[in-house]
Amino acid sequence: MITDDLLQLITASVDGELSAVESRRLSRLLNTCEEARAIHARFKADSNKLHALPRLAPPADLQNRVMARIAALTPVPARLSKLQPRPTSQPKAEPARHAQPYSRKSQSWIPIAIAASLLLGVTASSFLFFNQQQPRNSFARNPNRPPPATLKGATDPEWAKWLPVETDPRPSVPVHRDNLLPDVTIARLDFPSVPVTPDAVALAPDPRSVRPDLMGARLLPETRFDLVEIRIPFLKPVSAFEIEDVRQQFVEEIAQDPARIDLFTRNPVRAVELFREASKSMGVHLSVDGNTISQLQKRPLGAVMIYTESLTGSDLATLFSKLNAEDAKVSPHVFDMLHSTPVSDLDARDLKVVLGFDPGLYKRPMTEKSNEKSERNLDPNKSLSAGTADQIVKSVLTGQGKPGEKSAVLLSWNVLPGRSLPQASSPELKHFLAKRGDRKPDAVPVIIVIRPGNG
Amino acid sequence: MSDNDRQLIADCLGGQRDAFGELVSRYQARLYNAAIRLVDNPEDAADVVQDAFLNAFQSLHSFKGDAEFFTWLYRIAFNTAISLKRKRRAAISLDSVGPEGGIDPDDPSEYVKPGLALERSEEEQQLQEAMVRLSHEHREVLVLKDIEGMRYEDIAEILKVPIGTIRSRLHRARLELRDLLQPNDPDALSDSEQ
Repeated sequence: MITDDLLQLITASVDGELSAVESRRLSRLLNTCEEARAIHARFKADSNKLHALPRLAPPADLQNRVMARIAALTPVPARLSKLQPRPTSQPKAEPARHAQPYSRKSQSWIPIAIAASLLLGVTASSFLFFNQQQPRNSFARNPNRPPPATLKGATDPEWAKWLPVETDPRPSVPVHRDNLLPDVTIARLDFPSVPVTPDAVALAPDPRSVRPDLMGARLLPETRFDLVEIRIPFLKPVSAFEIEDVRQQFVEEIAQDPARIDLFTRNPVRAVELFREASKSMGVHLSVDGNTISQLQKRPLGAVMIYTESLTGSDLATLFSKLNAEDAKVSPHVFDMLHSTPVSDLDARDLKVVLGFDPGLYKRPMTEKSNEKSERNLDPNKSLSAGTADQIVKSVLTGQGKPGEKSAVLLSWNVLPGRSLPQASSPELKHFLAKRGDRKPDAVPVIIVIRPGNG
Repeated sequence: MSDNDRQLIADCLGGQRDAFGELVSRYQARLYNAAIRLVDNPEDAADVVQDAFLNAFQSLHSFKGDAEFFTWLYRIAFNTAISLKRKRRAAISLDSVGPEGGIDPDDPSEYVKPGLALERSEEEQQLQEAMVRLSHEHREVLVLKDIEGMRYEDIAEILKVPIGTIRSRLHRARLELRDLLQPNDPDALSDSEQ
C-alpha cells in the first residue's frame, strides 16, 4: 500500500527535485515495490505528454499591437518622454478637441471659483462697512472694546488694558527658580516687504516675550534620560536564514560569546536527518551517538544536543541556511524558530555532564604564537600546569596540535541533576574527541539543541 | 538576470522604445504559449500577453533586477490571466481558432500555427480537455513545471508562495490530472482492480 508520504516522494521525483536522501529512498522504494513503479511510470508519462504539447505561436501582429498600445499611453511617463509613436497600419484618429472646448475636467473648477469670489466679496464688503463706522483716527472710541487691530492701533497704549498682565506664574508646588525653563522669545517670521495700504490690513501687535506656561500648568523639571543598552536575544524562523541580513545579524550575535542555539521543530527525528544532510553538504563531520537516535525514535519528544567548536560564525550561518534549504524541500516543514543566547553557567555545567569533560568554552583558542611561547616556557624541573597538560594531551590525540577538521557530535540533552549520562563511553563521542584539534582563532563553540516546539 | 536583458531595460528606461520592442520580440512567444494553456482562448491569450507587456512597461522603473526579467513578466501575465478568467465564465476551446495565421518563426518545427488544421492525436485532445478541467491553481503549476520546465524556486518566485507550497501543489495537481486521465487510460489500474 502506497502511503501519501511515498506518493509525494514519487511526484517530487517526477518534478526532478529530490534531495540526495530522497533519491536514495525512492530508489529503494522502486526496487522493492511494483505498485510504486507503476505509479511512477504513469506520473512520468503524464508529465512527458504535457512537455510534448506543441508550442503555439502568437498572432503575427501581436508585437505591433503591444507597441501601439505603449505608444498610445497618456500621459507619457517622465523617463520615457522621448518615445515617439510608431506609425501603424491603422493610425488612431485624433480626438476632435475643437468640438468640445470644455472638457469635464475644465468645468469642475467653475463652481469653486464662484464660491470663492462670493466669499471674498462678502468679507471685503463687511470689512469696509465696519471700518467706515468709526473715524480713522479714533482707536478707542468705545471704551468697552479694544482698539482696532491695525498698524496704528498696534501701538495704542490702550492695548495694555486689554492684554493679560504679565505676572510670574505661581506653581502649586514650590519650584526652584533654577529649575524653571528660561524665558523664551517667540520669533516672528520676516515676510518679504509687500506694499500695504495702512489701515487696510489688520495686523496683530508685536509678540511679547512670555514665560512658557501651558494653560497655567506647572512646568516640568528638566529631565535627563540615561542610555541603557539591552541585548535582545536572537529569535528568527529558520526560513529567515535565506536572507543575507539575517545571516549577518546572526554572525554578529554569536561573535560576542559562546552561544546556545535552540532549534525548535515539529519532528525531532526528521530534524536530525535534515541536520545531518546540511552538515554533510557543509563538509562538517557529524558524529551521531547511536543510543541517542534509538531513544529519540522511541521518545520523539526528547531533545538532542549538537556540540561543535570548529565552525566560525559564517560557517554556522551557512549551515543554518543549508538547513533551511533542506527543510524547504519537505512538506510540511520541520523547523520553526531558531533562538540564540549566550551560554549560561547552567548550560556550561550541563555540557560538561553530557560530554564527560570540560570543553573549555571560554578558553582562548590556541594560536601559533601562544604555542611557541608555551613551548619555550616549558621547564622539565617544574610541574606541568593544567593548560600545558591539555596541550600535550591534544597534541597526542591529534598528532601535531594542529586545528582539527570541521566536526561536531550529537548526543542526548536530557540532563537530569545529579545523574551522569552513560554517554562517556559512546564510540561516536570518542571519535569526535579524537578528531578534535586546536580551536581555530575565529571558531565559536556552540551548543545546538534540537527540541520539540509548540507548533 | 542576463546582461542583455539588463541592458535592454536600462535602454528602455533611458527612453529607447526599440529596446522594449526587443524585449517583446524576445519573450512574446513563450509568454503566449503559457498564457494560452491557462485561458484556452487565442484571443484571450493575446490580450493577456498585451496587458502583461503593457503593465511591465509601465512598471519597469519598479523592477529591481533581483529576479529574472522573464520571471517578473510571467508573474504579471499570470495575475492578468487570473483576472481575465474571473471575468470570463465560459472557456472557448482551441478548436474554435480561426484561420488567421501566426508568425513564421525562425524554427518552424518549434511552433505550430494555431490557425492551421492540427492533426492532434486523440491523446493530446484528452490531455487538453483534462487541463481545462483542472483547478486554476493546479493548472498553473503544471504549465510552469512541465510545459515551461521551470524549477521550484522560479515557480515560487512567480506565484509568490513558498517552495514547500509549490511542491505540495504540484503533488495534488499530478494526482488530479491522473484522475482526469484515468478513465481514458487503458493501462491505468483502477481502484477496483487493485
